[in-house]
Amino acid sequence: MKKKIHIREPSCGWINLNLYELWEFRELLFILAWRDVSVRYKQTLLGGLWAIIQPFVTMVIFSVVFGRLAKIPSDNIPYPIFSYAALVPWSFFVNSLNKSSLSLISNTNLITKVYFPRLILPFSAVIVGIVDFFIAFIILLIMMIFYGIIPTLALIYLPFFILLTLITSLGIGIWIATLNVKFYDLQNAFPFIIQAWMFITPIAYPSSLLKEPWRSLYGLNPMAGVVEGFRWALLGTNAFPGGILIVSSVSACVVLICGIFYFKRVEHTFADFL
Amino acid sequence: MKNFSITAENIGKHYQIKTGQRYGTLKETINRIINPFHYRKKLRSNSIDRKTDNKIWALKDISFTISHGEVVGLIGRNGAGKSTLLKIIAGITTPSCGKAKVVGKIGCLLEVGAGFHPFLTGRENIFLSGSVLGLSRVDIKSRLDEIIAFAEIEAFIDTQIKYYSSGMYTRLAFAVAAHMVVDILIVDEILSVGDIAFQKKCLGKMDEAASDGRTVLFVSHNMATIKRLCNRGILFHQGKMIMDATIENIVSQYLNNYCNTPSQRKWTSFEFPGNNHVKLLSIRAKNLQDKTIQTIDIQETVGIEIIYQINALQQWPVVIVHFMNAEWLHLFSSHDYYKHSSFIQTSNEICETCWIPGQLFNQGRIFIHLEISSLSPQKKHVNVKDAISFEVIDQRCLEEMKGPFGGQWPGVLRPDLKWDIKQNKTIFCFSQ
Repeated sequence: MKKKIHIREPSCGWINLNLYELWEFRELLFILAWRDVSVRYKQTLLGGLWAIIQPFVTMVIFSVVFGRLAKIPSDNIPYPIFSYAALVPWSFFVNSLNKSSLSLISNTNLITKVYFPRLILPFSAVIVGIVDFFIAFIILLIMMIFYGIIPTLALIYLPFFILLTLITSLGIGIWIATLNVKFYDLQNAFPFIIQAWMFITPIAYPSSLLKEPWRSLYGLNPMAGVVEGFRWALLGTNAFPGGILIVSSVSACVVLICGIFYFKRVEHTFADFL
Repeated sequence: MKNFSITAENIGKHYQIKTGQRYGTLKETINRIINPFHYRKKLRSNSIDRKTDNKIWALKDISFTISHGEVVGLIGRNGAGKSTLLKIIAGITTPSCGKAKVVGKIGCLLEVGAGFHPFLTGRENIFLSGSVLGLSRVDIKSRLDEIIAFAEIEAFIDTQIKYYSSGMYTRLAFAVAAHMVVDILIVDEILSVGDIAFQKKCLGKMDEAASDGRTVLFVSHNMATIKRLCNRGILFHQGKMIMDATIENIVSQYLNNYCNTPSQRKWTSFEFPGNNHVKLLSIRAKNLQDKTIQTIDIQETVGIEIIYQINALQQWPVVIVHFMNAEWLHLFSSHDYYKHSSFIQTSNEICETCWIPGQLFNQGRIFIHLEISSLSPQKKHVNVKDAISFEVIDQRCLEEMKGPFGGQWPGVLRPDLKWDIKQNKTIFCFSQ
């Protein structure tokens, strides 16, 4: 039997990503995600309900404040479902960021004592959120039935938008996880960044308020594309938001790829820094 | 050489020491980006050269080859670089220079219970910890019963481990680790957990691993264990490899020269402990053949030789030797008050030896405090804590670790006492 030879040497320059190793450790990835999910359900009284409460309450607040009081347009869709369709991917994004930002720090004992591809940690943090995402999504379906919205053929593109959400969350999550190891300051800035990000994402308002080409440029914020895509696929908002989607997809992929490279570049220092 | 398992070539690892501001804060990084020139000037003005001065070498110039199936013990004091080396070999951290090649799958036990989560049950944690250590789900499933039986926690396997006692916790953790299928096993000072019976079980498992032809790298401060398990040793001191030889040589070299308190102390003329009246010149532990010893068999007599000078004293001072064990328990003290026969002659060098018979100390390290005092008027001239130390070992014990008397005999002392054994005529008869 041929045995694998591991080389230990100083890391330098552009490293190979060794994504195959990540595949070899896929079981660990899922078991870590399963750990976080199952711990969460054992630890908290409401368990899965939290997945609904967070976006649902935000939706109610938005409907009252922005929908009723500020009378913000909602592309001719009832405001509650207009905002909730955006809040489902948004809460997934926020939860993933929260979890992955802590993923390296809270697993210090693993990182300093056991070897495994460290990229698994932010990955599993994002995967954990998927369960919550689907619970919140069921509520969205119920609301669609309630408002009598029949999805158009565009629904078949929904998996693509879910994938885009994953890529975005993973990309930003990896960056934040990595930076968090080195810069503890980031932890303080983090809630503020999320809050600001929420307002530069078309959650409470439609991106159609902007004229082209500004609307497409808006897609540089990958969450803008995600949110508009969700609305289009599920609620059949007037037109296919093509420009914004392309820009968002590209920017999400760029963020993810750069993030993985940066992560790999500094990965070897984690054990020393933590 | 084809058959190697681990080779290391000039491995080194250094850490930056952070001076003043923490290196790598957001503030500093932003400053550096905004104003690189100023930053560099500031560095220079502090006369700190980051390239050279602020490096601490945790490891330097480590080269060795370990062939397949060898069981190697790494010995050294805390901070000698053993754990860093293990981490480099395991891939947890990268070396700063040099290169190591490792052939085969590595199982790494730097900590018991890596990945354990208190809210999960024992069974769930077996799967968790198993996959962290690189076992596949199928493997864990097929060994589940074996692992549970090894850990001796059948009754509690579906209880959340936050309710476990620390013993149960470590037993479970080690049980998972012991069932890894690897080519190279790296173990860092974890066998010292659990009760004696469990420790023996673990040692047995390690023996098994070694006899299966796996390569084992083992770090422990328990010399008896390391001597029993390993056949080769590597001695580390302050990040450097001092010696690579058979385990017996390494252990004695380590005990003699690198343990915290030496068994012999001599002072140079400016730093003699004492005052104008009494000056302590040297103190050492020796055997009957007048050789300085670091380790002594439990059967042998030990002498504590004290050489001191007195000056302008009317009376003999009293020399008191206090004996402590490794837990700093005061075992007993001895003094020479009634032993002086001749009159005192000033400015003489005096050599006294206090003899401790064999079969009195228990196994372990003995530390000696020395005190030299006058009684009237009462005055302490010399008071040296932790002056010297030596190790008492039971040679038979090393050979018969597995026997009924294995391990440490209970009690702080182990005197050889007189026993009278008589056979009286039986009055009662046992029923036949």
